[in-house]
Amino acid sequence: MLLVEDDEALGQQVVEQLRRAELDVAWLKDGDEARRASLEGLSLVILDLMLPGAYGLDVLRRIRERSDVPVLILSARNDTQDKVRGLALGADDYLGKPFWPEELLARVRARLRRPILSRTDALEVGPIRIDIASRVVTVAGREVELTKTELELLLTLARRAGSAISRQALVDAALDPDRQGTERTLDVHVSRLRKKLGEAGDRLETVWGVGYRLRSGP
Amino acid sequence: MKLRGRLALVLGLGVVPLAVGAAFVSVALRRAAVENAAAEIALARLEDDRDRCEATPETWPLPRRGRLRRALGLGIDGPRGRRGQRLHAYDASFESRNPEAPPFPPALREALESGDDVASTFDDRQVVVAVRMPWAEGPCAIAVVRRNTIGEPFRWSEALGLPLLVSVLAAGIAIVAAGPTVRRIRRLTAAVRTGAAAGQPVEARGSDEIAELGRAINDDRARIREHVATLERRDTALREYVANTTHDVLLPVSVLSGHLTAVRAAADAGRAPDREVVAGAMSEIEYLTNLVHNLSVAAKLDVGAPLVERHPLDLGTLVERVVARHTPVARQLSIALEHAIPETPLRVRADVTLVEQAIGNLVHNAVRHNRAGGHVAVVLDRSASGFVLSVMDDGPGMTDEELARALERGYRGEEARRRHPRGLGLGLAICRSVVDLHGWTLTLARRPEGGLEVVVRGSIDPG
Repeated sequence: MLLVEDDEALGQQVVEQLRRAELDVAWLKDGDEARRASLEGLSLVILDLMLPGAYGLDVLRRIRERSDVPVLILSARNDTQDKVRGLALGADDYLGKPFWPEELLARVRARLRRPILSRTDALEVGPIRIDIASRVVTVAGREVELTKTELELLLTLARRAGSAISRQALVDAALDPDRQGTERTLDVHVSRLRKKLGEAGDRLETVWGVGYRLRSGP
Repeated sequence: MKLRGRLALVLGLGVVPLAVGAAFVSVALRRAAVENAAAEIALARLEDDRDRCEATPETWPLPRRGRLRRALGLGIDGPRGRRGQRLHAYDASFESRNPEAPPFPPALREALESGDDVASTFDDRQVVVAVRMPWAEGPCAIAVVRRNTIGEPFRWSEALGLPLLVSVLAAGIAIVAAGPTVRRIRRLTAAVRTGAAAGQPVEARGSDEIAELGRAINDDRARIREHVATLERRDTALREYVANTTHDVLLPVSVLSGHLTAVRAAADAGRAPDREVVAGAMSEIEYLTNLVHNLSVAAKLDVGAPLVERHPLDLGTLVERVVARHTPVARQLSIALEHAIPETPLRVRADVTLVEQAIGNLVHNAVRHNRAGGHVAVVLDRSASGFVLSVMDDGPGMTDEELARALERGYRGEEARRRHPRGLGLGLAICRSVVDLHGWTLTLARRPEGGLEVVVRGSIDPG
């Protein structure tokens, strides 16, 4: 990836943070250099808006003329116009200064994992596998029989595994409104689902104040 | 140049040429009239008395009374009339048989020889008119009338006096008549000068141009006052921003310096710094960042609605960004910060900077006023009419009185003051202002299980 940042200290810190996270990064300090830089093979550009030699949005415009590489804007200007213009010119995200290193890494990783929009036949989260076409759920190869509501709940959680989903969103997605599908009955369905998933049931986490999450990691 | 001076100059420049022109026209008309009259008299007299003239050219004309004299009023009674007018006859070679006849004027001879039938000359003393008769033979082929002109204005310089006098008098009257107008303009000028400082309107009674000018000045003054008021509000907001920033930034910077000194001391001693010290330092940085952003937003809000820029934005992405910003500090403080957003974008029309800061304030407060082991949840859901954003925590919450006053600018609850003595009480007030500006609603409520829940409701962008 390419970092375009004129501030020596901040640029050095960002480069070190990204390299510690085992990310390969090149660093340019000048806007004119950035406009001429080759974008070949880049997976992400992190672009400061206040640059010597060129305004960052001009650099962004030149980048967009040549490439679709994701661009994350860094800006110390907390200004709506800059954000709106940046996004309108094709930036993918922005991050205001100051920022925490892990905040930057989270954004970078989010941009590097661009969503894959291709259809999948099955969802797998740890030992849990859901065949979408046949609607068969197995845990470690063993088939688990679920009700329609439980299956919808599991599908909704598995589609966004690792993210918390609100109780309201789960009710809307899985429960039948004609059959008293409320947040109170949601807990009953989740409890039954956990039991049916066996040991994998502990992946179905209660998230305080939010709802539930299907843990995607180990 | 003053108005009356300019008026006098313009009138002078306009009147003198007019007077001169009038004198020229008057003299020219008068000369033409005299020439025509003399020509008719001479023609009539000679036609009437041709036989006698040709019979006794040495003595012609003898004095006689005639209707022509009466009709024309020129008093030609013979060779020398009562008004000093004389008639003489000449032959075609411009000679007269009458020994009393003066020689034929050369200028008139030249004119008649060039083909004119009538010619005249005017000088200081007399007018001389020569008329060629319809016949060319005999001693009476040309008649010459001489008439004294002393006292009569046949020269334009003599005719100039009266028109010039009238014109100068008219100009003087105009200048005097302009007096009241000039005085009104002076009063208006004085009113503009003295009223500018006091902001008083000037007198604008009546329907003439000066009254219209007064009204225009009042309208313009109102616009300027409005503009100045806006600038003053901005200036005040800026000065407050600078003053608040200076004061409130220096305090947490001092605390941060203390934390970093402790970290360095630990490093010098070859041991890891205390977790609490690092968490405290991060918390101060977070506080500083939030403070600067809040002051900036407050300054923007103080100026008024025109600076609010609404654009389509995905509220879910914005919530993720706010949570990502506060997660590092929450983790250091051992507070679980969780969030949930809808699967598909939830679009609203809003000012991204203001809304991000408003939601950031809710999360900041929920984290900062919580305890180690506590929870903060940020949940964005669709509703039947739009969206519901809820920020809840299991911290100490608020009393009824604190809840009632929480949205006032500058108000800080007892718990907030006890746990965090610094702070401007800007956060929730900014939230309320931002929510109001976007036409959304904001409610605060104690959670039955403890802690606080802040709920923002609004409509989504139909576009």
